[in-house]
Amino acid sequence: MSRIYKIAEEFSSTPGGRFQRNGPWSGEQFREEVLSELVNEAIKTRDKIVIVLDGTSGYGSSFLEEAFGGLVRKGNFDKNQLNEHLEIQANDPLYEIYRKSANRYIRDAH
Amino acid sequence: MKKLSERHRRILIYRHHQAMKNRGKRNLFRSPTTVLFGDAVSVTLTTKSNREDAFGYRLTPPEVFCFEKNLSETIKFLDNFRKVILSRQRLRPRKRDRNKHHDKRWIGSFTDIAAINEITPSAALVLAAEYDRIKRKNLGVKGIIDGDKWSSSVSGMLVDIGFFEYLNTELPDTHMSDPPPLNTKMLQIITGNQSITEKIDKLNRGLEQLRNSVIKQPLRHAVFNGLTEAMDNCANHAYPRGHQFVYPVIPGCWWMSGSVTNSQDLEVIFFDQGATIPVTLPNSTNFEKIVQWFQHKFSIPLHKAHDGQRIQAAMAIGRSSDDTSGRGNGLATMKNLVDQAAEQSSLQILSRRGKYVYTKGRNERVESLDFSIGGTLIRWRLYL
Repeated sequence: MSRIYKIAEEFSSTPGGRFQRNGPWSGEQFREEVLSELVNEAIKTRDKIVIVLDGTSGYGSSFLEEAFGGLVRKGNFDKNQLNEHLEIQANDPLYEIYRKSANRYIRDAH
Repeated sequence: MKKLSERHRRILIYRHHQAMKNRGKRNLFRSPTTVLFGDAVSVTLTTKSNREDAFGYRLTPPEVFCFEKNLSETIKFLDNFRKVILSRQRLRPRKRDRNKHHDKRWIGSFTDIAAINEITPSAALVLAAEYDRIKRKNLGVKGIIDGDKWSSSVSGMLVDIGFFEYLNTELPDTHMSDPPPLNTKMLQIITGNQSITEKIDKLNRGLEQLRNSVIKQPLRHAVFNGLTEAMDNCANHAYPRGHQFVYPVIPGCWWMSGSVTNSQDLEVIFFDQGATIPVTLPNSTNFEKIVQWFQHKFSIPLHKAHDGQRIQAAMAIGRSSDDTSGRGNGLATMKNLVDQAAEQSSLQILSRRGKYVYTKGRNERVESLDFSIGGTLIRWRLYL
């Protein structure tokens, strides 16, 4: 069964900015400490990690770009791996825009 | 897109810096650093423990201290304020003034807040940030000067934002006893030097308390996202390492607040005293795109653009190489906040001597100003 990770409950309900040096709960911190490990684990177990975006106060575009686009940009994963092993979910329509943005950042990253 | 050669890139950056330097010199001559005061005046100085007669040279702010109705006079005053108060020049009384006021305490130059009749939230925030800088950089906090003469609406707003903490004192009781109802209620200033997004939640909750009703989720999110980007931009760009600031700065520092009008409309304000958008634009990793955008949009090279046009470029292109128009562009996210509110809502950015305004349902407007605001002020006016 796929692992489900809820950002609001397990990381922060107030995601921060882009870089860790600029403050807590940044996109970089999320990618390095949480997301990369979860994706690696999913690849190893040939499973999927589901990231649930709901429940936060919002997301700055720099957080989303650094967290999700950064996975590809930093060379940690390729897009095919992420397509197969990472699912970004938004149950509340309010978070749908963030889901689309995060997917687009992955798609456009190079 | 044609790639800039390293040599050409350096030439463009050099020209930009030369243009900035010359502009700075011109303004220095236009408004001399030594502001010519009239005769010294006697005042009442109130500190936490004391109340005494004093005398000093008066720096008079405009009666309407406001970036909307009286922008040029207000920024001109702030420019003089910084030159006089932050320059660390020791001001001595003229002989005739010293003789006339020999029994009073000399306080140097002071800002006569009693001259202000009307003050708006954004102008109050910028003024408070200047006093905060004076306090944190030990540039001489004086206390309240002629507090009894301050307009009650002005002192009411200054109490709201916590201005008196920067003066190391409290407003005299005479003003506190019967505070007038204010047309605009303002939140206490929140300050920080990092992207601390919990503070945005605090601001959102404060605005809801002032309104006595919740803010709809999409708008609440847009405020969160817009301010997150403002904080992140401040942390990444506003105080670049190695930049020579004219006045002492508190690295990374920003101030923000919000207000609610009688008609329940919102205003959200964010200010930093950094190097400003027009100055830091060439540091952008998107520099090539910006140069080409200028050539295409205005048919002028970057170094000939005025500050308003530079802000517009930053809004359109973004300042990081990960930014592309409308995507991952922190500044563009700030526009989204306006789009979540009703028609006529607006985003105004004053950065150094540039003004940029985006009003929902209208075109962007840019303007060049005579004086610098001394940082970057971002103001969202949100009609609900």
